[in-house]
Amino acid sequence: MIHDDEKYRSLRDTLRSLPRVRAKSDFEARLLNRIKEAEKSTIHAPVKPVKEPVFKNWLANLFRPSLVPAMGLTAVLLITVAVYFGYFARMNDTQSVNEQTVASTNQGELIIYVKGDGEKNYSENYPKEYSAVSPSDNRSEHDAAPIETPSDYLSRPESPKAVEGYIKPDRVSEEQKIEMQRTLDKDEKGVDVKSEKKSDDVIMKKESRKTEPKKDMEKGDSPYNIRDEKKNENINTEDGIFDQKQENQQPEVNEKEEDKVEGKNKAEDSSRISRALKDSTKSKDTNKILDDKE
Amino acid sequence: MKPSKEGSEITKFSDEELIFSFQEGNLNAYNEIVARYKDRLTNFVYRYVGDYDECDDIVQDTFVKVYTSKHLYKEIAKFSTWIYTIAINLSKTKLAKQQKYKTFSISDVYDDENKDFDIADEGFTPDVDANSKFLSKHIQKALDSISENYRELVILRDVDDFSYEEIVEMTGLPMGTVKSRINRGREKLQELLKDIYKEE
Repeated sequence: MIHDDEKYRSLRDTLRSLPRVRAKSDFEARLLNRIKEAEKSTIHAPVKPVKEPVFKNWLANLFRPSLVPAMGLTAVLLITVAVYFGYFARMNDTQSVNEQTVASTNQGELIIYVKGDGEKNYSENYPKEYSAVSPSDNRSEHDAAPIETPSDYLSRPESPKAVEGYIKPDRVSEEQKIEMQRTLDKDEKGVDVKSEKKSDDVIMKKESRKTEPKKDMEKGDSPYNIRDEKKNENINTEDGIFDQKQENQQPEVNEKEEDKVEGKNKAEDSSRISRALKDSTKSKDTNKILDDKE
Repeated sequence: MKPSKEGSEITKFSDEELIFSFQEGNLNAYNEIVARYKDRLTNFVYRYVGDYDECDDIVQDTFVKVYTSKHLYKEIAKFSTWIYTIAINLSKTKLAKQQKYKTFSISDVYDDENKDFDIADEGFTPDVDANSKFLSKHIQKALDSISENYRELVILRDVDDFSYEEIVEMTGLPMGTVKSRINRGREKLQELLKDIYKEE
């Protein structure tokens, strides 16, 4: 720094030796005038403080920049609480209802018990064999018998038991009723009711065909024959049921043989009908046919 | 604005004491400030701007600014630094306006280098001797020809004899920039004033 000043010493001396310029003699007077003008301009144009309304001031204080993050956080929290109580709480309720209404049997068959309009408690609709305490049991929950669980887990699971009496009839569909009835019949007699039903139908049809005029039989192209042919194809011939195919193959059998066969069949049919009447469900069709026969 | 009894005591005050006194409402303090700084500022501004009338306006504006903005002065810097900063800023503004509305010289119209129109100024008598008049004009021409940035700093350092620290405070530039600019300005001035040194 000093070295630079020394280097340019001659130049610095020359600049310092420059004659000093002085201000004008009337400098102060002109300055006074200028100051007065400046004061006048400030006096004539006074700055009026703009009064803001009180409500606006209050809003400005409330929504000042420093409070914006806090306000945002509060809004988010309020929305979260509203969504939780308005939506998720309802979802939890519906989940618990579904857990109550949907129950599975121990055989893996799914039975859905739907709550009725008049029902108050879901547990009313449960099959009572699954509950540890019977409805007639007046003891408290503490005195109730413990639930017995099978100790042998490798054992074959028990067959599903139909709970006819306890399920309300309006909760079970027609198909379920038929299925339940079949299982009951099978268990009691060990007979395939389904196949018997089919044979009964065939017998009934045969009876009905007998009543029809022979002319139709001879023609062989009546709508009844076509329908019977199709149906009898599926009938088991081992059970001694009337075989339409056989009939078609031996059209030359005389009437006597036919009568004999028919007589035997009649005897068998009558026995079967009586048994079927006992065992089978009371359908309207069979009743009609039986009435006709009688 | 004649000095009163109070004014005679005020002359002993430092610059900072004067401005604080003026901030409290003492007009004599302001008069004393004007008396102390009017010639100094005029010399500085004239060397920087190169035009006496412009210089007079700028100096008057500087004092008006001191009068109206007295409350802005804080005791963080010297008063001289503060008032020079105001003068420098006003000078720069004036120069910027001059460059925007650039005027042309009458001599340029006639295209005659030898023909020079000196407008008489009765109140301005900086040059007493003919020699000193010539020298002053020559140096002023050289100062006007260098860049404003260099000129400002060279005048502050070599004409008004401010320290580097004060110049840094006034201009707000880093110390290195101030030094380098002063040196470059000096180099250029030396080149322009070669003939003077030869004579010497």
